[in-house]
Amino acid sequence: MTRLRRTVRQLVHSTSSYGLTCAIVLLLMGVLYLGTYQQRDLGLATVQARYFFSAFWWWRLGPIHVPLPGALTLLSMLALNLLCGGLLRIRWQARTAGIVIVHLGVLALLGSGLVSHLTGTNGYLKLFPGEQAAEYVSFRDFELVIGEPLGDGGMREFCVPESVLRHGTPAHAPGLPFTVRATRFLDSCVPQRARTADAREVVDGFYLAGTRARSGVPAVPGVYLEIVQAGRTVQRGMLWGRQRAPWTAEIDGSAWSFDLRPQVFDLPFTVRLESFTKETHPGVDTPRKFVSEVTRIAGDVRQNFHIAMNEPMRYGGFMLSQNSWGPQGAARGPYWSMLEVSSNPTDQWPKYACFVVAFGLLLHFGRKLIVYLERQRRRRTA
Amino acid sequence: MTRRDQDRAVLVREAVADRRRRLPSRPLWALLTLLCSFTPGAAQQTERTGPWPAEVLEAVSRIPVQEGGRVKPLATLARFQLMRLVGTHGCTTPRGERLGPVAWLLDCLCFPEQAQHYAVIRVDDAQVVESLGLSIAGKRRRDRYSYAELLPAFAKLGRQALRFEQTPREQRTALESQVIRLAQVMPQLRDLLHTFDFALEQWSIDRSPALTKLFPGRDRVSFLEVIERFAAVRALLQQGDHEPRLLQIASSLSESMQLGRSLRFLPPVLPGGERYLSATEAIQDGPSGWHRTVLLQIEAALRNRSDLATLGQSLTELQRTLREPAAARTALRAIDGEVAFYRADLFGKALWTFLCGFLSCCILWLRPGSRWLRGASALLATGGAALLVAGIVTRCVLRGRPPVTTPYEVILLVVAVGVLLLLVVELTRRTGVWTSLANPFGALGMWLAVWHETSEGTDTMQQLVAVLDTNFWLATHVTTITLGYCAGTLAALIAHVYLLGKLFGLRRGDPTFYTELSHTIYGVLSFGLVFATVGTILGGVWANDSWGRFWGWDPKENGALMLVLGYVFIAHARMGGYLREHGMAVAAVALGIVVMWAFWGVNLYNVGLHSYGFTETKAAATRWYYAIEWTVVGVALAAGWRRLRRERG
Repeated sequence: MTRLRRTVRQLVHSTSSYGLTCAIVLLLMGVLYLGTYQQRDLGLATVQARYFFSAFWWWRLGPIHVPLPGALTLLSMLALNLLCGGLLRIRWQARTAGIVIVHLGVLALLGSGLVSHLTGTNGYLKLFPGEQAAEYVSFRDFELVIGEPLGDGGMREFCVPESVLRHGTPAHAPGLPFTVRATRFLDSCVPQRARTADAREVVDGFYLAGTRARSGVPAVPGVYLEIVQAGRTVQRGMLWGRQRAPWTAEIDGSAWSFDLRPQVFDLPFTVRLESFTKETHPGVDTPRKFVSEVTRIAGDVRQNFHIAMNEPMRYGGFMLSQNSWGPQGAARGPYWSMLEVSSNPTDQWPKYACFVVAFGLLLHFGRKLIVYLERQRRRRTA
Repeated sequence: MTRRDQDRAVLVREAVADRRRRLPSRPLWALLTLLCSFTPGAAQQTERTGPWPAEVLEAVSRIPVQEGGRVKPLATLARFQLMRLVGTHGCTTPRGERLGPVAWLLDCLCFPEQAQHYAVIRVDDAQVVESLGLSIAGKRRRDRYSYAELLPAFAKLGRQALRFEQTPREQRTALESQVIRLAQVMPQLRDLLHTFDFALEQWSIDRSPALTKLFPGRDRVSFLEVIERFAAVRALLQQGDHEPRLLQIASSLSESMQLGRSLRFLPPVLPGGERYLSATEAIQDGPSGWHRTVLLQIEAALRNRSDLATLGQSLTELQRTLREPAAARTALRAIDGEVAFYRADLFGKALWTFLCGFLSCCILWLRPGSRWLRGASALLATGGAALLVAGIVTRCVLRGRPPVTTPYEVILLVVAVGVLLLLVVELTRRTGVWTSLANPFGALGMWLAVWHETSEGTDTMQQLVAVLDTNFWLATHVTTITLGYCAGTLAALIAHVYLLGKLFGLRRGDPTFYTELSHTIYGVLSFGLVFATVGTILGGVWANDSWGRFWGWDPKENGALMLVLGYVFIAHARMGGYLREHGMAVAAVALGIVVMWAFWGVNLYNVGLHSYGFTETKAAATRWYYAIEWTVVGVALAAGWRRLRRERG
C-alpha cells in the first residue's frame, strides 16, 4: 500500500512540475506559431488537421522526419499537468484559493473543447425566403451514400461516415447485400483522365490526382471503393466529392447508386425562413445588418425567431447563427440566407469557465496587490 | 490648355483606343463624346484673390456630408482626403500660401483651375513618375506633385495599375504598390476637382441656331439650364441635328456626369431616406424641389467667385441651407462636436506635453537632485495623460462606442492605460523613475498613433461591419484583450530599461533600483495575465454567438492565445525558479514581440475571419521591430549566460 502510494506520489510529482508546464507551454507556442503562419499557404482546414487536431506531426529536416507533438497531445498533457499540479499537489489554503479556482476554470475549458471536438457537429442550412428544412449540411465532413431504388420511385439510403472510409473499415448494414470498403481515401484531389504512362489506380479511364492544399481553395476528397460479396470483389469504383451524378453499379440485378457528398445531419425541428434582410451603410457596401426571420416548427408548435449577427437562436441543443447570404454580388433580392447550425453539448461551458477563471484571477492577484500595497505603506511609515 | 481641356484630351485618347470594340453598344452621350471636337471650354478662368475668411472656413467646416456610410462634417472629410493624398494636414500653394484641409477643399471646389496646380500628391519614389513617361526635373526622390503635373499620364497610370493589381499583394514591388496607390488617389482628386462643374460651366450659344431657338434671347446658358431643358436637347439630337456646338455641349454634359460623385452633401429629402447625394447624382435623378434650390444657390454663388467676400457670404448661407434638413435627421451637435474635437487637437497636444515631459526627464537625469524638474516631469506626464483620456472620452461620446473600434483607437487606449499604470506605480513607489518612463512611453505611443493615422489616411471614426456592431462585446472582449496587449507592451518597455541599464551600467551601485524594476515587471505582467486571459475567453464566447464555434484556430485567435501562453509561461517559470530578475526581463521583451505579432503580425497574413484589420503599410515596420527585439533578446541572453558562468566559476 505504501509502495503504491509512493508510486502515485512520484507520478503526480513528475507530471505536476513547473518545468513540465513550461515545456508544454513553449511547445504549444511553437505549434501555434507554425499553424498560424502556414495558414497563408495551406489554408485553415489543412493546418487544423496537421497541427491542431493531431496527436503528432512530422517535422521534415531534409531526409530526416522528426515526430513532434500536435496540439491535441500538448493540450491533453497540459490538462494532466494542471490537474496534478494545480489541483492535487497544490496546498489548499486561503492564499491559494484563487489559483485553484483558475485551474478549475481552465480545466473546464479544456474539457469543453475536448467534448466539443469529439461529439460536436456543425454545418449550414441555406434557404430562400419561404423555404424550410429539417436537416443541415456539414462544412467539412463527407459521407458515402449508398442508394437502393425502391419500387415506388423512392430511394432507401445507407450512409457511411467519412471516418469509416478514412480507416478503410468494411461497411455493412442489414438489408445491404454486399460490403463496401474504401481502398484509398484522398483528402484533397481532382479526377483526371489517365494516360497510358500512368501507373495509378484507374477506373473507367480516370484516376484521382492528389492536390496540395492551398489557402482559399476548399479541399475536395475522393475515395476508391470496392464492393465485396461473399468474400469476392464484385465491383471497383471511384468517387469524388464534387461529381455531378452518383456512380451506379449493377448488383444482384438492382442498380445501386454510390455518392460521396457533404454529410447531412438531421434537426429535431424544422426551420422555415420567412424573410431575409440585408442592410448596408448608406452609400457604401459595408454590411450593417443581416437578419433572418425564421419560424421554428417542432410538432404543432410554431415559434418565430429573429437571427442576426451576434444574436443566435438556441433550441434543443442546437444553435443557429447568421453565417452568410447570397447570391454574392446581386444588387437586389431575393437573397438566400445561410444559417450556421452547430450542435455542441458544451455550448455554454466556456461562458461559465470564463466567469470562474476571471473570479479566480481577480481573487489571487487582488489579494497579492493588497498585500503589496500594505507592505509599501508599512515601508513608508517605517 | 486649360484643366478641362487636358482632361478631355486624356479621355479622348482613352475613348479612341477602345472605340472599335465598344462603339455599337455605347449610349447616345458616349457616342457624342467621340464625335465631338474638343475646343477650349467656356469655364471662367479665375483665381482666388485673397485668403479665405476665417468665418467662412468655420461655417463650411460644419456642413454635413456623407462618406464611408456615415454623416460627418466637411472638415473631417477634407482632413482625411488631404491626408490620403499628401500625408499631412495641410498643403502649400505655388504662391507659398499655407492652406488647411478646409481651405484646400474649398479651392478644389470653387477654384479648380487653381487647385489643380497645388502639389498635394505625395510620390515616395520619383521612379514611379518616370515610369509613366513624365519628367521629374527639379524634383527630389520623394516629392509632391500637382494634379496638373501627373494628368498627362492619367491613362497610362490606370493601365499600369491594372496590370500590377494582377500580382498578389505580397509579391508586389514597392514601385508597383506605389503605382497602384497613385492610381487610387488620382481619380479621387479628379472627382473632387469636378464636383462643382455644374455650377462653373457656361456655354455660349450665339453660333447655334438650334440652341438660340431653344433659349430665346440668351447668348450664354448654364449647365443647369441645359439640364432642365434636356428633353428638348435630346429631341434635337435624336432628330439628327448634329450642329457642332450642340454636340460639344452634349459631350461636355456627358463627361461631367461621370465625375463629381464623391462629395455627397445633399441630404435626402424623402422621410426615412438615409443616402446623401452628390450634385451629379442629384442632377442625374432630375433635380427638383429642395435639391434644385441648393444647386441653383451654388451656381449663383460661384457666378461671383471673383469677389471673395460675396462668395464667402454665399457659402455661409449655403451652409445654413444644407444644415436645415440635416438637423432633422442627424444630430448636428455631433457634427459640431466632431469639428470642435479635431480643432482642439487633444492628441497632438498630448504628444507635445509628453515630449516636453521627456525633455524635462532628460534634464533631470543630468541634475538628479532638482525637485522642481521632478515635479514638472510628473505634472507633464499627468497633463499628457489627462489630455489623452479627455480625447478618448470625447471620441466615445461622439461615436457612442467603446474606444476600441479601430487599430488607431486601440493604440490610443494602450498608450493611455500604459501611462496611467506608470503613474499609479509612481504614486505607490514615489521614486521618480516611473514618471521618467511615462513621458517617453506616452510620446512614443502618440507618435505611433499619429503615424498610423497619417499613413492610413482613412477616417478613424468609420462605420463598423455587422459583426462588430455590438457595444457589449466591444466593451468587454476587445477592451479587456487590449488591456492585455497594453500590459505586455508596458512590461517589455520596463524590461528594456532593466536590460539596457544593466548593459550600460546605469545605477550600478543601487541594486534596489533593479529589484524595483523587476517587481514592477512582475506586477504589470500579472495585470496583463488577468486581462489577456479573460479577454481571450470572452472572445471565444463572442465567436460562439457570432460564428457558431468557441475556437476556430483563426490567426487572430491564435495570436491572443499565444499572448496568454506567454504570460502563463513567465508566471510558471518564475514560480518554478527558472526565471529570476534578468530572465524575467528577457522574457518580458520576448513577450513584447508576441504582443506585436498578436496585434499587427497576424493581420499581415491576410487570412481568417479577422483579416479586416490588414494594413500593408505596417509590414516593414513590424519586421524591423521583430529584428531589433530579437537582437535585444539575443544580447541579453548572452549577457545573462556570461554572468551566470562567472558566478558559477
